[in-house]
Amino acid sequence: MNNAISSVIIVGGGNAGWITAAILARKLKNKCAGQVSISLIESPNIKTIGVGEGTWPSMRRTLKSIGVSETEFIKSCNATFKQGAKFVGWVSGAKNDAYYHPLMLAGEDEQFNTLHAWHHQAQPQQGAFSKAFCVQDYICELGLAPKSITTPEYASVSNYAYHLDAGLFTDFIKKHCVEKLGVKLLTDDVIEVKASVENTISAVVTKENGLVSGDLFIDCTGFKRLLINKHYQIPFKSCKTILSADSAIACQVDYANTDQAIASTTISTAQSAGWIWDIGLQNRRGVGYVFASDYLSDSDAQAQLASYINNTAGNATNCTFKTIKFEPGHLSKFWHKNCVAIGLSAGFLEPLEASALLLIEMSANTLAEHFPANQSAMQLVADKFNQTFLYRWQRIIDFLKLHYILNQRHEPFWQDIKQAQSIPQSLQNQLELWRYQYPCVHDFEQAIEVFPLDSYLYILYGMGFKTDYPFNVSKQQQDLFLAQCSDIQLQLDHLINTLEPNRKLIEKIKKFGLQKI
Amino acid sequence: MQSFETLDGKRHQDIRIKTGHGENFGENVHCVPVVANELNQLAVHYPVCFLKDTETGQFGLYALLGFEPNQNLYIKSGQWGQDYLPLHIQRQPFIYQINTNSTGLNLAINVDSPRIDNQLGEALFLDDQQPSDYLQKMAKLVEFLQSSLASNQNFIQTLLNIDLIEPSQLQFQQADGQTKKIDGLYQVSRQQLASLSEQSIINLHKTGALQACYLLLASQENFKKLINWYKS
Repeated sequence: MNNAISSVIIVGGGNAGWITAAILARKLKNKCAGQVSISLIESPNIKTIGVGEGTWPSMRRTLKSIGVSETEFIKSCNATFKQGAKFVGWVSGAKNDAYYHPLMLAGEDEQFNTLHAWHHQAQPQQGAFSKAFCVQDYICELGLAPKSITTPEYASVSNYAYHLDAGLFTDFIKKHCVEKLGVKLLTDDVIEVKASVENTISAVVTKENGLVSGDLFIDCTGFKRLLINKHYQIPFKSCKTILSADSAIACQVDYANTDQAIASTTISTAQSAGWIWDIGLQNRRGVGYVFASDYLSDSDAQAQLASYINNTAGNATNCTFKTIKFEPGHLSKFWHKNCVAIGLSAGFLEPLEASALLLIEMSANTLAEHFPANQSAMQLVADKFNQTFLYRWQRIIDFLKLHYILNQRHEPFWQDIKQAQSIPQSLQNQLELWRYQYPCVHDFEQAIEVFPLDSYLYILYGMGFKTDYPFNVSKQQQDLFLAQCSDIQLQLDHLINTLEPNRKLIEKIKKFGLQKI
Repeated sequence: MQSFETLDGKRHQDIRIKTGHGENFGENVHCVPVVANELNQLAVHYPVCFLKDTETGQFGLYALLGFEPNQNLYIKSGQWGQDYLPLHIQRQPFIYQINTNSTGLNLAINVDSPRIDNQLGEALFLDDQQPSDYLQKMAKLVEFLQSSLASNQNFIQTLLNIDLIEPSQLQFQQADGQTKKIDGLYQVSRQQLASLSEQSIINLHKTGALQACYLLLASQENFKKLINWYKS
């Protein structure tokens, strides 16, 4: 095993570091016969940022694959079920302006046979698209959980992801990594990077433990970018001209009482210069305002946030507000030499679609699946990785932008953000195409898209996008559509009788636990 | 309906218990909870499976009696004519309850049970308020059921811990040609059972769990009988 990659050093112990450690440890155990060691250096002094209290359904697969129990996860992380996002006020800001981006898929096959029939109806109401294509809108409006106490761990009745306490989640994964997955933890500060003549990193120097050498280094040092930028000076690609939000004020809001319903979706409410997220955990809500500092001062933003909290059964006078400034964008490459950046070090975008944890999972999985056997394979794997993730970041930026460009609001922030010159060409082309024909899977380049076609449909038609398809609706399609409508009604009748409110199920899980089978 | 009162020689002096079995006692149920301790007797007559409690999601052991709500295919012409009845059925209308009063029997009685009568059936107490033979027999049965319930939970947990329980779907053709699917049944995994380590087998054997697993698997043969009854 002369130059085999047998030692991975992860620098930084936030969400990114520990999730990456868990996925690598689990996946490489068989693949590399236990001959690759995973170590993580965590600073005792640096507090993690803990962004991202929302996940994608992929987190269920990730947690299952690393071997944790869903019951334990829910108990330990104050986790709740997330069945999508509800966008309030994003189109006109009028009183009933709201639509859903549910997590259930909208169609069984790739054809979306009934899209034209739906769109062709007399007057599709705003927000009506997702209701015509899946039951999850209704489930969320009723505050019902996506499964019942008899559903096995990680299985669903309606597709779901999680809301979680990011700090507790990191601790939970860390414990599992150290106790069950054999990840070596070094509590120490990295003070220097040592490189070889070819400028590959040979070791990092730590304050207490001296030299820690390894074959592959993972930079999970957040905005510090200790290895990828401080050492390698890989440039950062800002996307502020596309997504102008660059600030966030976050706080924790107590429930009015211990029985208050827990929302089954992330609620995203448009404001004058951005939007407010509202995430219901077991014991509190996580609420924050993402805004563009070019349009709004911190103090005005905080006042808007406080007013939102007071209007949604919270009490802003009890809240501690934390302001975070960020540059939206990502590195121009994520893997350089023998160093890979994962998490905030790779980049950051406003948490509109919970892409932060999703990208960590995707990066760690891709790294594990394409794990370079030796130094010679490294460059080839790195090139492929960079290509894949540049594409993915681009796709996420396009998708987030899509949420903004169909708005009809009057504030300068909302007017400016839909200007053509701020829209990436790739997205402009797609929108142009979709004015004439319906989106289909073939409009997307890669087999593993970050967001499925269904997500695009939910946003587009949820916001009232019009497609001028020149053909009639066939009799067959019309019949299919009617069958779909009655099927959704049947499903709904059944689910209303089966599912319980979110909080009630969470409490049952804490008391009895879910079964593995 | 259920309304339990701690058994008392004075208060319940005149109560008699009707002892038959069938629909008139509300026994038209499609499944009944059972304990591993009675599998020897059950396995000959009933298919026994694990089902999840819909309120708690926890596994329990049940004898299957029918495939529709309120359907007990073992009841013929109103009578439950099986040689062996599950303890949970036999114990009616009593439950276990620590009892400090004079009877010395740890029993409570469901005074709303259709079995309660003041003329017909078995007397509970003799003239001197001492328990009758019938009541003493019931007290023993209820005590046995009570102690069996605790070991039953251990049995289920032991099996769950080594992944020995798996979902098992039952499906058959109905008389009208439609396929009937029964979900929510769980059974001992034959594959998992066959691949246990020697040490696990010894451990299971010592607690009687191994024998129970084979009895459970054998009891599945009774589904054939049940399906035939269902179709006819």
